[in-house]
Amino acid sequence: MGLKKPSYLSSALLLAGVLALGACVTINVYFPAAEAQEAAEEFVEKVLGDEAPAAAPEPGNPQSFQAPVRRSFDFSGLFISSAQAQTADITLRTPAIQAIQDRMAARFQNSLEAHFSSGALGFGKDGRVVLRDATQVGLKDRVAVTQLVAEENRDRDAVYREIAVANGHPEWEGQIRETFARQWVASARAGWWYQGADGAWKQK
Amino acid sequence: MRRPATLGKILFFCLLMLAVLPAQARTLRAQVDSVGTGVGTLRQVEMVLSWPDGASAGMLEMRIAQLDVPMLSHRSRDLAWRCPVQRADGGGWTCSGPLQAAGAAPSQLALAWLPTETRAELAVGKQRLSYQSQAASPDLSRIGLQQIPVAWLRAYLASLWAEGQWTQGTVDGRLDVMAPQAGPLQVQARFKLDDVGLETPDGWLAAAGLSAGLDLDYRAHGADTRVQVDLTTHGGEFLAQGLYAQLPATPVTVRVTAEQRGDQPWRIPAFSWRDGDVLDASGSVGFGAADEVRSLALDLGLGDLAVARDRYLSGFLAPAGFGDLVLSGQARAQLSLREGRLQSMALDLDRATAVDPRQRFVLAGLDGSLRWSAGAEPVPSRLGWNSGALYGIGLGAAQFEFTSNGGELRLVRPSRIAALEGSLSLDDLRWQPPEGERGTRFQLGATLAALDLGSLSQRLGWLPFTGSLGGRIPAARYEGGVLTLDGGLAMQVFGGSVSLSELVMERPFGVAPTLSAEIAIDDIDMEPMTAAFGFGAITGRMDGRIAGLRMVDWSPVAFDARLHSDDAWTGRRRISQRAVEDISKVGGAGLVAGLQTQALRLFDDFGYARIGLACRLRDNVCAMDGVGSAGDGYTIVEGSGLPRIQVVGFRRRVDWPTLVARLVAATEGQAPVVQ
Repeated sequence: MGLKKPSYLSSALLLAGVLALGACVTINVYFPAAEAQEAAEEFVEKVLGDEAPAAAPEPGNPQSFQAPVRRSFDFSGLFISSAQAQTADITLRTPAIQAIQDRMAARFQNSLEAHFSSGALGFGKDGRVVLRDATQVGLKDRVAVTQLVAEENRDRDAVYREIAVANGHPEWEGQIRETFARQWVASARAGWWYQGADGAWKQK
Repeated sequence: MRRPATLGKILFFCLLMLAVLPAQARTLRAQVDSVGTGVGTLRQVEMVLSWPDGASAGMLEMRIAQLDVPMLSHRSRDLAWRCPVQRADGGGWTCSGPLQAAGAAPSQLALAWLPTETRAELAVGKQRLSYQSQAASPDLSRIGLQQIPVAWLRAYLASLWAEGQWTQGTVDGRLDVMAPQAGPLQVQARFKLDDVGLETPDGWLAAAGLSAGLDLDYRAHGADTRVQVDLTTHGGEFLAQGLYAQLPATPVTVRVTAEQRGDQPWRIPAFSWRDGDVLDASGSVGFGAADEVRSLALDLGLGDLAVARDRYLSGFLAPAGFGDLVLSGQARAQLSLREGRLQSMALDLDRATAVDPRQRFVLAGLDGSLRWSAGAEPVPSRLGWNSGALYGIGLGAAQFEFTSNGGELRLVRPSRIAALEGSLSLDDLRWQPPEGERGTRFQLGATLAALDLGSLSQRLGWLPFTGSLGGRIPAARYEGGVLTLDGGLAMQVFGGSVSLSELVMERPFGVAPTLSAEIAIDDIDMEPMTAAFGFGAITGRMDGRIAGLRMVDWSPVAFDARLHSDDAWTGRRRISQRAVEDISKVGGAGLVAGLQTQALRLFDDFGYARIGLACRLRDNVCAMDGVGSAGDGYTIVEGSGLPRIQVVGFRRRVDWPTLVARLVAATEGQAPVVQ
């Protein structure tokens, strides 16, 4: 920027300062809720296996869909490249996430599924699996099931974290977890239990 | 518990009436609508007692329309009992005969009213239930059980303990209830439990297939209550919160004394659990107003960790991800909790070994102790091991000296551990257990000196680097599953250096451990490097950086790497024909411009001005770049002098696994498989 008259210098600096400050404050990458939900759906359906009902959750269920956050006009968009303000795709195609997904699918279809059907396990509101009724599991199997649930939850925590990090936004972990929590419930089969937002258990 | 006296009194009254009536053939009928007793209710009772003249015995016939025994969860209809009433030797009467009920197996009921005692016994097949009350001690009732299914006692036990659900098993034994008008209520029981199953709805306590001898002593005196339980088990499974015990067939004795004074909270002044040489635990517990543990003293000895792991530790190890941990040796632990706060913890190990079958770690010959104290007075301890391994990297013997006070365990002086032909020194270590909201805190400082990179590469399955690794991590913190290392490590390789900084590990021993780092490469001599990797020969130096490296499960998932020849290098810059070929292969079916491939073969090496390769890895795809653009492609090798070569890569996006496969193939001198 070539400034010819020194008298403009201070005002130009002030303006630059304001813009710089404005840019700092308003750089915002919106959580791509719709893409995240789509990715979560694909992930969850694969883990739960073939017998899952049709993927689309009921349109009337406000928990299943969350409209992408609408972007209002952003003044800073004039100064920073649009790429930075765009919503990102949510990708799950890292080998680590896929390895965990395969393991989760095997664990679910080999062991956990039966315990969801019996009502012993339920989908927690934090996107984890909860042993909600241990009495449905024989004592012999209870330690094994507790171990499976602990392993499953470690995998889930890692997946939520890795998806956020792989997409370059570790701070999205919480939102990704919430998206998944809704998706596990949306994809659950009839008769399975899940935890409502108030913590109470409900049967789908 | 009340004695079932009312029915006995009615019968006794009938017999008394017989006795006082004039001597003739006598028949007495009595009809009662409802009789309530301590143990049950009888409805529409009809009794006929006939006593022929001069006969030594009469005949009692009793019909009951409905019998309810809530204690046994029992209800039967249309009962008929027929028995000969006989005068007993020492006075009194006895009557024993078959009892029949609609839809039930025939049983035998015997009653005796003697001056010294009242006795009733019901036998159904092998099951026997008896009641006895002695005249000399009218306050004492004795109930006998023989092979009684717990299902019979379900309702009664539920009245004692609402949450317990008894699922299976049988009970033998006796129960003495002493309920004097004044004085303590006392219950003493000696039971033999066989294959008993127990559940609570919240699943925190459960037992299955439990066989045990149970002695119970319960005393309630005024507002004070005292219970003593002695349990000797012979097999079965037991679960209490995190503790899952697979009890052996050999006897395990558990003794618990619990008491409550007035409306004060319960206390367990003493408990013990002994399982031969395997486990020996004792201590005391105090509870708070909300039944939370306020104080605890525990002394736990594990004489054989290998056996204890299966019997007692699996419930703790499995959920933590160490379910298949192989343990041996001996351990002893002490723990003291006062006013809800940890006071001290101690762990003594004797020739203990822990092997993780998933190869994450091995510690052999653990000997010594760890003592943690919240008190002001420093408490010393010392722990060592003979050998160990971390992710396949062998560790030599080590000795650590600790001191602890104020809630922190600290290393007293640096400890040196031999590793990878160099050494690892632990300079500092601080550990604080979780308290309240705060999770466990862990801090360490370490120095790595002259670790052999060749051995490390081999252990981790990397390309065969040679050189050494050293550096200092002044502080590493572990909190919330994240290990953050301040400082950095530097590898001295091929005359140059590779420095690693901003090292962060997530879930270091958990699922898909991650490692992120920033790597700077400086002045690596390419000649020995290319020789070591079998990658032709290049002279000159190499610089570069790998920014934003992130590895998951030890495989890179993201980085921004740029490697290039050192522009400041003033020596010879030659690249061999073989290296050109290898680079071409790695760069992907590239091109050689300026020379025909055939002509290329005429020369051993070429001069170069610049060599550079960049890869930005995302989503398993490498976005490639070189030292400059060449039409659609990018220049990897920019030649210099004659014959002048130029290696150009045309594929900008290369599948990462393919690239790795090509690199491996090139270093192994094999022709890559073109995909």
